[in-house]
Amino acid sequence: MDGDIQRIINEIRSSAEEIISESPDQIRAVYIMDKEGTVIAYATNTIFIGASNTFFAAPRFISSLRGLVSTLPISSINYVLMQGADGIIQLMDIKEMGYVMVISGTDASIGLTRIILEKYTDKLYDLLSKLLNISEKEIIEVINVEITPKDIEDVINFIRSKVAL
Amino acid sequence: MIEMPIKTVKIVIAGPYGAGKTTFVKTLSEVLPIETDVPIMKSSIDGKKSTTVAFDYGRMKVREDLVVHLFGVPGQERFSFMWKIIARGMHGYLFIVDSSSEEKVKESLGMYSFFRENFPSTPHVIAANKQDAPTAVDIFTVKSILKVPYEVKVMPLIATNRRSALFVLVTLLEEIRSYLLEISKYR
Repeated sequence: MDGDIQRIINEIRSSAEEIISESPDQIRAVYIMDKEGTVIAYATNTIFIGASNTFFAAPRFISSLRGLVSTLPISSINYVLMQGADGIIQLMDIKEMGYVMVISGTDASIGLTRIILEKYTDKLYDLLSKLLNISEKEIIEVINVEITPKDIEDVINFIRSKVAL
Repeated sequence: MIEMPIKTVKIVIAGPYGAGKTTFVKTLSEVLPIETDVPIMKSSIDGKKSTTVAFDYGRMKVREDLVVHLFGVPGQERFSFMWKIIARGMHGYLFIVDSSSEEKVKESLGMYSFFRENFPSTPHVIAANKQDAPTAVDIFTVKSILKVPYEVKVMPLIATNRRSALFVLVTLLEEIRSYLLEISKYR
């Protein structure tokens, strides 16, 4: 893992922890996601069962949300408030770079949490931008020369020529 | 002199942490001329000649104008945002699971679903690694736990065994070739 990428991820995780520390009695978990809902970092303030399952559930959640929103005349997602029997989800857009999602225990601090999230938006935007830029640079783009079935056959024959399968 | 464009076959080796991805590539490199830890020369339009690639497992030169590039993805979920970036433009992927127990296979379900959802039509093969473990589960069970589509092959693998590793790699390449042949019919 590239050092810069790791450093930025750590900073994003620190931001998630800072958000929790702003209201530790209320906020159970914070997730920072990219624009497709892939979780980049999260923090919890208690033993939060199933926290890591969100890695895989979050992209589906964002995709479904976007699917719904695209049929409604409200443009992009700025803020979503969702109330469950045992908690509240507050999801905020990070200037179309990603999302920050908070899970709280009660609805008593909805307003406060929203203000906290808005406070962190700029910082998270900067970190996500940096992360995306570095990630793109680090990964080679495969040159767009079409691979043919014959090329693959050559690879197979090459391997077979090196070893008797 | 006009430079011949180099074709790159991009293969991604995916799977959760500890599934055996590194071992698999290491075993292959014992019998195939796979170079590792080399900067990738990239003839790009912007004039940039080379770039170091993170998560690079290695590459194998087949012809002057054809290389196979093996990319590894970090198995830890916290790096899941990198999976899509690494996998972009891949021709196929090998998904390695630790099949030494049902629990281990179940741990792979999330990551496999992620790949299936993000790359639904990309040719791939699932390799059920650690088949030499006494507690290893059979291929049918792996297929069932991961909800593998019927057309996707699930292969037994012992990543430390050269023959086994090569067989899995060739199977994946055959899947890629079949896919390319199929899509060429519609062009």
